[in-house]
Amino acid sequence: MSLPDNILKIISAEIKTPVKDIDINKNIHDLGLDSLATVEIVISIEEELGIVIPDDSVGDLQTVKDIIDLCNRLDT
Amino acid sequence: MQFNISNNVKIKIIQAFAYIGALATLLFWWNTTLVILALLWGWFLTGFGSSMALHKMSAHQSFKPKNRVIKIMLLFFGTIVSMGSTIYWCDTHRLHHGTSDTDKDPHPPTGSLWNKIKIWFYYFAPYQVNPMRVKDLIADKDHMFFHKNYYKILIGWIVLLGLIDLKIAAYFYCVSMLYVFFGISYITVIAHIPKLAVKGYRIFNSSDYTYNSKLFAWLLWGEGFHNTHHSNPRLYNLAVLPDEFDYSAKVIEFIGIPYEQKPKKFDTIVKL
Repeated sequence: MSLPDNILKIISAEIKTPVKDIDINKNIHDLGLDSLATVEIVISIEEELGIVIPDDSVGDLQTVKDIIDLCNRLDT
Repeated sequence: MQFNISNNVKIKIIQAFAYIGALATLLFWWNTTLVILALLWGWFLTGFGSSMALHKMSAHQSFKPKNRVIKIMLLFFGTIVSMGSTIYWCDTHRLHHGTSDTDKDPHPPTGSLWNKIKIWFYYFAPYQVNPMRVKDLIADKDHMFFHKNYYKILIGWIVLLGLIDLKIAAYFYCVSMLYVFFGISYITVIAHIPKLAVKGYRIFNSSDYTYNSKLFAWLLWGEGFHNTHHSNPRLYNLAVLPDEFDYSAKVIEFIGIPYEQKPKKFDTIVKL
């Protein structure tokens, strides 16, 4: 499974929505993620995928695509 | 990221219920034995719920519980003291420590008497939250369980007491909460206003107005040593002078593994 797929799987579990229904360009708050849930996703990504996301980057995450792009950068 | 005000309103309604319920109970349903027992239960909850669960274990990680059963029990006590979940309360408290008695403090007991009264009742404006401040707690499944089920557990507890007997709920929730809320309010407001001190003193030259009080340390499980706490937030034993005693430290040594006790070198004792 690719990194974006893994991230989408984590987000899907958090918002209880099938992966295919997640619009990655939508604002994460519109997907039903509040700031606390966003941090929960960050923690899941760190724990499950071994990517350490800098604390000061979390506030900049607006869309699912932002999360995927950041993780892609950090994973390389 | 703005704090979700609906959460704040819910907890305020529960706190108001406790205050009004306590007032009605004491006015119309007085029973001296039950009052004494309820205040003793409130004293116990102040120690295990407010001081140990919310404050020392969660906000400052002054100790780790020895096992998960103790941790769950502490989280339960931390829930029924009705101050919000550990995650909500610790976010406020950690921000408070970095901004104490400044205009960035989420609950500054400064300004008008009306503002002090509002802070006494833990009523303060929504503020900019940063869940990253409590990332360690969000990563903890037990804290998150109690956070996500906070109102179910708290209201379930009150209903359970009521089902046993309405008088039990009236005394052992509402009246007991008077002691718990008094403790939190004393620490939040009076322990930051030196001119209200009764035999208070400062031993650390902190940038805020906190002071120590032996009397309130006895009543509030060592939390009365507030100047020491603000200068050494991770200490589990807040008694640093030979004539100070923090009995909560003995309990923490029994139920938990304390963080290393390394108080800063204190300054001159300044009596207020």
